[in-house]
Amino acid sequence: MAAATSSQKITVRKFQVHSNFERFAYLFMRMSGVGLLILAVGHMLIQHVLNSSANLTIEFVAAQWNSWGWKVYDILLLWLAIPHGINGLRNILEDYIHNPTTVKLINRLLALFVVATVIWATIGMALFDASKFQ
Amino acid sequence: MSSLILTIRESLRYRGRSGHVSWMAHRVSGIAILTFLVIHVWDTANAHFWPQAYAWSVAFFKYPLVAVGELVIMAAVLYHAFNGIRITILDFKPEWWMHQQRSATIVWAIFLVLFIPIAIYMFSGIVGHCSELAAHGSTCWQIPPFSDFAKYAN
Amino acid sequence: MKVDLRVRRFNPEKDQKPWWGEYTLEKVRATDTVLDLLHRIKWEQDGTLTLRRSCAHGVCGSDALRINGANMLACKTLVTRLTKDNNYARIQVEPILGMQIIKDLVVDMEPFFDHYRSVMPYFVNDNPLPANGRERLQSQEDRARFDDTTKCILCAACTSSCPSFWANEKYIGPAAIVQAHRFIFDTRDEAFEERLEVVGDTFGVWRCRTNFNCSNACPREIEVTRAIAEVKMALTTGKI
Repeated sequence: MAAATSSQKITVRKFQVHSNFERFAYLFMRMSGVGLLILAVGHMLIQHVLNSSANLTIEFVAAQWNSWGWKVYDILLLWLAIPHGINGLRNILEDYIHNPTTVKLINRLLALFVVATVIWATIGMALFDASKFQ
Repeated sequence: MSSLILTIRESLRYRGRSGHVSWMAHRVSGIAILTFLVIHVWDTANAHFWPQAYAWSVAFFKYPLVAVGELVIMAAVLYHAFNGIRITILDFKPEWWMHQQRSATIVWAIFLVLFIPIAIYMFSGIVGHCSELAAHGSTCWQIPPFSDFAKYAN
Repeated sequence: MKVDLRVRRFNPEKDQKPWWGEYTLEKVRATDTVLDLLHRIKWEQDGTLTLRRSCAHGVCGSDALRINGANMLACKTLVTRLTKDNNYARIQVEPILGMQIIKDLVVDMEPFFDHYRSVMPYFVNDNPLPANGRERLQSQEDRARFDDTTKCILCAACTSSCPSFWANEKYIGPAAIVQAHRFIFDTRDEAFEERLEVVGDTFGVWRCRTNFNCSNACPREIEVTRAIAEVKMALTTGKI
């Protein structure tokens, strides 16, 4: 099934995709995963390899967050990483917890946690005033 | 509860091949990263909301046993990221199915090639930090008191 | 050669919990199958050993078992595959996972067949037959697209090797998705939308973690994970 001639002969049919949360979550995990490959692995390498862990102080963080470039990087990282991780946790919990009421409750708590965390940390980063630490 | 323990036990006992091992490592590394991430995000937000606590926690993370934990998280992130890309590729390109077993091995290889030097570097950083403190008459095996960071209080 | 077998036993009428039966067989040929060995235990040593089998030749799918920790068909597994030693083998036989044990090596297959039925595993085309009353024609390339998934013998080796199914038996499982694939990608069939809705549901394809145990377990060597990924791609792109 490799040659172009066969693909011309294959009948392709289209249909209306009914999207549901699971399909969205599946695609989100993979797309955010690619984004995180760059942002998260980048973050780990920059903070712990390019810089030394011994340098990690609040002054170091302030120097980075003095520029909006780094703030945006970290905010984007946050918006991808937290939902990606919590959805992964949801997958694991739904594997092992079978009571539908419990599952619903857990999903609501997880969603609340994502929203609260993302908002809290975004505000924290956006309002962070680097001049206080120089 | 017995079903959870049974499921986990049998998942560990089943003699799957590379894909099964990769799946277990992906799940375990994911849980480890998430646990760390939640603490890290809420802690780092303190840089703005409670700077004294944040400055203290940054110093606390230099405590050797905690710093080794950073190494573990580095391993988890690297493996989870590369294996995640492998899964994404195999999900979006079903016709590359025949490469799946080899791709699992390649992911482990890339992981080791990157992680081993990084681990050596990070570990020597921990050792360097401890010996530097020792040279100044102090010790890294001590968690600094919260009050040391009062100057950062708003 | 000599073979030591460890077989998981459980008689609900007598036992509190499952136990391991230990059996030794002499004069085993390297080309004997695990099913042959189980037969010998039943006929020579313990007549109460209970198992399912029928054709004994790898086409009926009755005797999927966990042999030395991995799913295989007992009748297709030669002793020589399980040992490097020409004179001795240790073989462990257990029922497949994820389904309730009825007795010894026999499990309750009803949840498995329920999932199978839920994907409408039969041909649907209400359009009138072709004018000459004969076949609905299909090109060779179109036929090749679902050829692999026609091979399924419903042995459940794949579904019972899937960690997502072990964790939650509401997951329809690889076999049901393979059966759905066989019809979804068949250009002569018209019910792809209904089937795609079933497999696109919460306990459908999205539970697959691309673990590949199913493909490794399949005695017909169907590329199960590939079929599942093709269904995922169909649901992603809207094209089949």
